Amino acid sequence: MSDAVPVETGNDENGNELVAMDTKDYVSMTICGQLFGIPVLTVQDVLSEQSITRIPLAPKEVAGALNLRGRIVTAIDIRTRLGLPPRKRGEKRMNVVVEYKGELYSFIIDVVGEVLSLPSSSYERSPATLDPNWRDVSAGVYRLENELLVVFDVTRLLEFGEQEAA
Amino acid sequence: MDDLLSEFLTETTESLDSLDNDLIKLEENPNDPDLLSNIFRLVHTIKGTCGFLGLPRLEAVAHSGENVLGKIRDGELEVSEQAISIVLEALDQIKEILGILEATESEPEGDDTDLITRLNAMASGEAAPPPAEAPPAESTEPPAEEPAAEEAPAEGDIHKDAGAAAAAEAMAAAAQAEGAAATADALGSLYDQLEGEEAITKTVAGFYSKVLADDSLKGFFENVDPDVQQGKMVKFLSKVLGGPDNYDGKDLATAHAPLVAKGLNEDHFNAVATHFQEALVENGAWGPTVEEVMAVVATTKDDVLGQSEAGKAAVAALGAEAPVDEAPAAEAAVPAPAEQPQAKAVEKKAETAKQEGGKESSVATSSIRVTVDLLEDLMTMVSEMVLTRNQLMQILRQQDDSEFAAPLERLNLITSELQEGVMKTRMQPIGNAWAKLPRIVRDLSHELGKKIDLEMLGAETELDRQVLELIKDPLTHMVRNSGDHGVEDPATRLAAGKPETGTITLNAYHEGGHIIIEIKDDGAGLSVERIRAKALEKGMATEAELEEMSDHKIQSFVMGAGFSTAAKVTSVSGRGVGMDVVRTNVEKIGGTVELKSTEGKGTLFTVKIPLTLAIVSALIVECAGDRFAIPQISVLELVRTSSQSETTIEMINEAPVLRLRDRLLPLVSLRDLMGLEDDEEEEEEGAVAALLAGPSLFERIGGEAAVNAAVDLFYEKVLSDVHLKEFFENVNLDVLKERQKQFFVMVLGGPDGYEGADLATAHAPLVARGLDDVHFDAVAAHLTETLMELGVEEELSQEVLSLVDSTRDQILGRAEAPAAGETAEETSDEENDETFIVVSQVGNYTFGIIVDKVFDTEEIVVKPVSPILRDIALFSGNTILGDGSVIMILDPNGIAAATGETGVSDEDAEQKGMAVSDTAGEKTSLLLFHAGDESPKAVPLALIARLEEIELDKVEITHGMPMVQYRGHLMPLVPISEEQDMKTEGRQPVLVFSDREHSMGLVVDEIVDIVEEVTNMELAAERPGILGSAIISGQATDMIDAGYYLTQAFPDWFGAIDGDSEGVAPGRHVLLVDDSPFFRNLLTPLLSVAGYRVTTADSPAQALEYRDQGRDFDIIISDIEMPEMNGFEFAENVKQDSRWQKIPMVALSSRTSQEDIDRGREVGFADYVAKTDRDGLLETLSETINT
Repeated sequence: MSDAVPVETGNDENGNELVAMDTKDYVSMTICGQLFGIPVLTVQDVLSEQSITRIPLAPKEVAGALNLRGRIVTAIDIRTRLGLPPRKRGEKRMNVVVEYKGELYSFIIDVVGEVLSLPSSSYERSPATLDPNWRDVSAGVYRLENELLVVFDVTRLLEFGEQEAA
Repeated sequence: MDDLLSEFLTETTESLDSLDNDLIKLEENPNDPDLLSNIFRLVHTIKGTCGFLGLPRLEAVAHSGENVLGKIRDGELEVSEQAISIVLEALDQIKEILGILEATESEPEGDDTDLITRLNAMASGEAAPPPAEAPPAESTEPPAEEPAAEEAPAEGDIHKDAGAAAAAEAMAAAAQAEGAAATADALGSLYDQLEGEEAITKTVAGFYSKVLADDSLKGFFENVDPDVQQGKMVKFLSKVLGGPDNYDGKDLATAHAPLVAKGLNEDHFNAVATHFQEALVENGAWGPTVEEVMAVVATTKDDVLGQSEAGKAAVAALGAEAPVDEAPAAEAAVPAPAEQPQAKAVEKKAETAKQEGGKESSVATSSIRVTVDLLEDLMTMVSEMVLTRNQLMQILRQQDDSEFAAPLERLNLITSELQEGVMKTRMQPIGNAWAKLPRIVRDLSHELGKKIDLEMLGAETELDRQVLELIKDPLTHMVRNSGDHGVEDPATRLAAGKPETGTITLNAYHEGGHIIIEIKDDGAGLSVERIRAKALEKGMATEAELEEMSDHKIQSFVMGAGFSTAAKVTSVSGRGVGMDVVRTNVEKIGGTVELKSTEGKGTLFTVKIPLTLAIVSALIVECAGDRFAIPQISVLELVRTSSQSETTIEMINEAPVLRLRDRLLPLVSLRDLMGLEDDEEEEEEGAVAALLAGPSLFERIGGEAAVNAAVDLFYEKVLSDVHLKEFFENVNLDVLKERQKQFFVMVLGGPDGYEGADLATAHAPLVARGLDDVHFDAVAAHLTETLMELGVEEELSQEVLSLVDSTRDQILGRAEAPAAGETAEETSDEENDETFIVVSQVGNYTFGIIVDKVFDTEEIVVKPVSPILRDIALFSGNTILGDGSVIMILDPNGIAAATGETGVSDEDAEQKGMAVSDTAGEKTSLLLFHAGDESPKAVPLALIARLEEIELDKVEITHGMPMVQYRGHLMPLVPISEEQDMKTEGRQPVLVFSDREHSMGLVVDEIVDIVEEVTNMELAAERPGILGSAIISGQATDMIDAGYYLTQAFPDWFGAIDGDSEGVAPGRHVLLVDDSPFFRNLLTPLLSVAGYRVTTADSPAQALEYRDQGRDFDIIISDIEMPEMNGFEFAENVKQDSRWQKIPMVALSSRTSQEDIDRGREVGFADYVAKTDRDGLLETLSETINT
């Protein structure tokens, strides 16, 4: 993350509407106990556990495909994406559906939390010591009262396919 | 009606309607550029289409209209009422012609010269003539004298041959005179006024009798056949007066010249005229008409008498006739007839209007134009509806008795019909895509001076609009190609014994859900030689590769990227973006292009494309618990195999095959292809998986150690049981125990290392010996005991036991099919009783796909896969099934390609190969051998002097080192590793490294092969003697560090050479710059062996650093292709700086074209050597250094 000043780096495509506003809304979610957030406007849908068709030969991050009201959604397992241990059998999982370049993707995460309005004053760029896997996909960190919320960069989250192809 | 024509009519009518409105709007807003350009475009389109359809009249009018609009657009003409009116008038004229065109299907005869003249006048900026001058109205205009005079000489020009001097021609002349005048204005009218040919004939007859009775004229008519003359005159009159034009006589002056010579003068002319007038009147001509006719006659007087051009005498001679004609004019009649034509014109207009009305109702309302978007939306919705229908039908099938059955059945039917209907809206005859081809071919043949016929067959074959659009350009391109490259020029064709005219044939037809389009020409065919040369030149293949290729394969290069065989680039083709684009486009829509060409005979391209892209019928199959769809079109048949049935899958090595009707069908296991694993399946479903839910039993029991302990104890118990003991006689217990352990580990959810047969097979011999339920129970009891003794919790051991119990039927051989015992599934899949083989065809390649289950076929809507998954060639898309689940659609092309067969994939592979060699660079010859341990080893062939086999009994030991006498010297033998056992007798292969006097033999076990491969060292080795590892021939291979072994043999190898070599300057210091570690490693020993000291740099930057450090070298060898700074730039840099300016440089590259060599010399390289040319390099170095 080369941008020290996120306020000026608003990315409309991702809905990261970071333009001169004091607070931004994020859908919060938990993965392996860590709190993450995605800009609320990018989120299309939140689904409970879905039956997912696995796709052979797909990149390991791709958990499969699911049917969302007649549209095919590619499911990305965020745990795998972040290099976290896989979910154990029977462990709860949820889907957060986003649209990116006209395609629907579903992020498989553990639990979806509430929508949080976060003041830009508590925003910081990702610490340099963060695991490269994480630093790659995070747009920054918010200091909450009791914990830290890592903001996902949706574009980067979905970029693994291209990287591997390249 | 011709489809094209009716489409044209619909379209043009529509355009015209909007044009009317637009023009009027334009008049109100003259400065609206959008409006204007829209109008211009519409008119331009009409013009273009007319030209294309061969409607010259319409085209001419539209063209002139366009001219005017063009001037307005360019700002050269102002939007004026006049301008708009005249354009509108042109549009009206077009509409009128269109009306007739629709009724008769052909363009009506007619002349729009006047309108066009006025349009052109408007365009050229001249004031427009009165706009009221509509063509039909003109007929009533009074005759104008002026133009008549102009007309006559014009006539005179036409009939040039001087003919016989016929006296009667004089009379004809008189009549001609009339006619000429008549032409001046409305020609039809006078003819009509005279009431046609009959009246004229009578008049002429009466006129003749009068003339012949006149003594003063009689002399001129001697020796003339009056009948012939009369006939001529009648024809002439009828022409001149605007009737049918049959006159073939001479022009007036010429015809009358002989009479004039005889003394025909003005008096005579007048006399003749008088006679004529009398005749007219006698035949009932009306006053004004007579006057008009006579006025015309009078104007020809000069002509007839030759005064205009010929001598005076002629004037006098004819002059006599004039009065004769003019006299009767007095008896003029009334102007009534004039009204007649006008009435006719009106009538005609009404008729046209009627036709126009008719057209609107027939064409304009019987078809409507709908935007493509709307159709696409409709299609999408129908697709969704089909899916929903499928879902409903699926639900219905699960319910035996439902009141929804009847209505759903009906819904099913309607949906199918709706789908079909909507599909039809998208279907268009392929002829639409061909429409422009005749024109293209025509232009092509003109441009290239060839004679080409285009034959189009099966133009009515229908296919999806979307497909049609996509196929249009490729087809056009292929036809162009055929015309340009294929068909030869007439001379060549004649010389080859072919008809002068070449033929390009397009043929389209349906074949099993596909459309086949053939583009065939009888031209020169593809020249294998030229393609070979080109492929070589472009580096698409090496000569050796080309040698091995079939002609057909070489010809297929034309479909590769950047390939064009046309010797010169024409405007038509040969720009190098040819067939590969075609192929890509066709493949994009799931089609294939095949090529068949015989040199000298012609070329045939066969394009196979699916009928539609949106909805396909697909076979749903299951493999490892996942379902997949295979497009029905590529499925030939289904074969069920099981161990009981006659058809079974056989294995050749590890390749499964199937005997199918006396042919061997190669098989692909979908499971293997997809990397689907059985245990994953079990995790998904299956009884074992259910048991394993949560932490696996394996983990809970305590892992492998616990299992081992249990099995040992268990066997102890079993073997001590007298009832069971007999079963284990003659059995290798250790093996059995090991198997059992593996099996338990696997069943309990641990790592899957089990390699045994499935349970039934493994126990079959025991069952044969009498193993039954009692024994099984006894074994189970022993197991329970074992578990208890090992302190396994009760709950846990219960689970294990129930698991074991579930295998009872299988072990005792009572399981019927795999379905009966879930455990069967976790065992090897070849033993799995029933499998299905989907026999598929891709191109000419037939193969079978092994799947577990086959369901029915379903209509599926193909949806593209997410971009993340696009790289997976095995899927062509995905879809949602009736039950709402997402499944992947298999791409048979991709599967075939994955198995490495099929022509299509071959090319792909070739291209990939090319891409690799392009990027990865140089190939090296490597010697592969085995020595010491298992792993294959390789050494660059360039380093090896010879390969020898030495007889081991000749080996002597000196200095504690094995030696052989070799070519008069002692050659030490060095083993690859200490552990390597040297045989004591027989022969041993040895790689001989040699340098003038020194030779060293590297002892190897077996020489495997010599390969030429691109090598990228992937792992650096820590072991001495090994440079690193590279993948060669698909295997990880150790690269041998030859230098290491040289020093093993002669510790002073490199040093020893120093100072005592002839020719080569000893100890010269070489700087080797190469980005490839492999080449650095290859060349360093090579150069060292030759007596050079070598310093390497992995980049020019590093080399320049050495310079900055003040190091000096005797020679620099540099690679050319390097990242960041290439060899040329490096050389330039070196030569610009004084420090290294004098150091000679040698370029080393795999690129050795003359161009590169020149470039190299330019920047300062002393020489240029191919990378693989070992001797060349050494020679060059020595030469360079010594000069």
